[in-house]
Amino acid sequence: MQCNNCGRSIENRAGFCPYCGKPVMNSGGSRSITVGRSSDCNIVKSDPAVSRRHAKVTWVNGVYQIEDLGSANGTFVNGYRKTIAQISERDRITLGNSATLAFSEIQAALGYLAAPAPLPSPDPYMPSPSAVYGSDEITLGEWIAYMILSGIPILGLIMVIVWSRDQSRPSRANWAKVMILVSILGLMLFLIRFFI
Amino acid sequence: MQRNHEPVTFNEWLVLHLLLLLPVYNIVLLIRTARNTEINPVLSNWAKAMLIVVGVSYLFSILTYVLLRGARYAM
Repeated sequence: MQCNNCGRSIENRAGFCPYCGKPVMNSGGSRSITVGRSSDCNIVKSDPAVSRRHAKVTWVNGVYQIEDLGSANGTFVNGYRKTIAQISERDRITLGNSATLAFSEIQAALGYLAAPAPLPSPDPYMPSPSAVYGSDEITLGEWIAYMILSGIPILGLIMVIVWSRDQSRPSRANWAKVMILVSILGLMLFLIRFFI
Repeated sequence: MQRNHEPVTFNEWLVLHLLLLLPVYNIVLLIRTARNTEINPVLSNWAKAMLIVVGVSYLFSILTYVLLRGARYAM
């Protein structure tokens, strides 16, 4: 995808060009914004000469067009009253008698619409992945408990087998597997010494 | 520096347990691992727990030995 302001190659779906900093619109499709005194408009102008819904700016395939929405005081492009007109960065747009509409404002509003929706904020009630799948963090207290428990005859071996099968805590599972291996080696050494 | 939070693998545990068989070096290894703030906290906590458990075991053994020896001399 190319920036329609500076022409440089930019990432797809980028809302703003990282080189020129201006909002970027996709090459296809169309978007429109409204300008007026009403808070429902995309660009709000509090000037009393501006109508509640004064004008509409449409962007179609890289071309900007302003359309007067039957305003009381009119829409002016470079000093000429227009019902509908193609506009560019060089044009001076005035709403009513005095309220100016900067091209950057139009671009920003259209760019805001073009920008991808922000990622949803994390739900405070949603349990964390570690809470769902188990955390691999093992605290000092937990380690001491594991070491004491694993030292108990028979019960220790059962616990170690259980921990080795629990894949929600891979570090503990791997440690338990090594402990099983150590126990088997110890038992083998004991049996060798006992019988030989 | 950011700590490594990757799970400790079976081989890592095996190597650590084999190194613990070496006299003197095992204590040095445990102290160094326990004090290292850049390694995986799982290993660091394990080393601390090992030092505590081994230390308490030694103390308990010494205490038992002294008490039994004292009891024997008392009789």
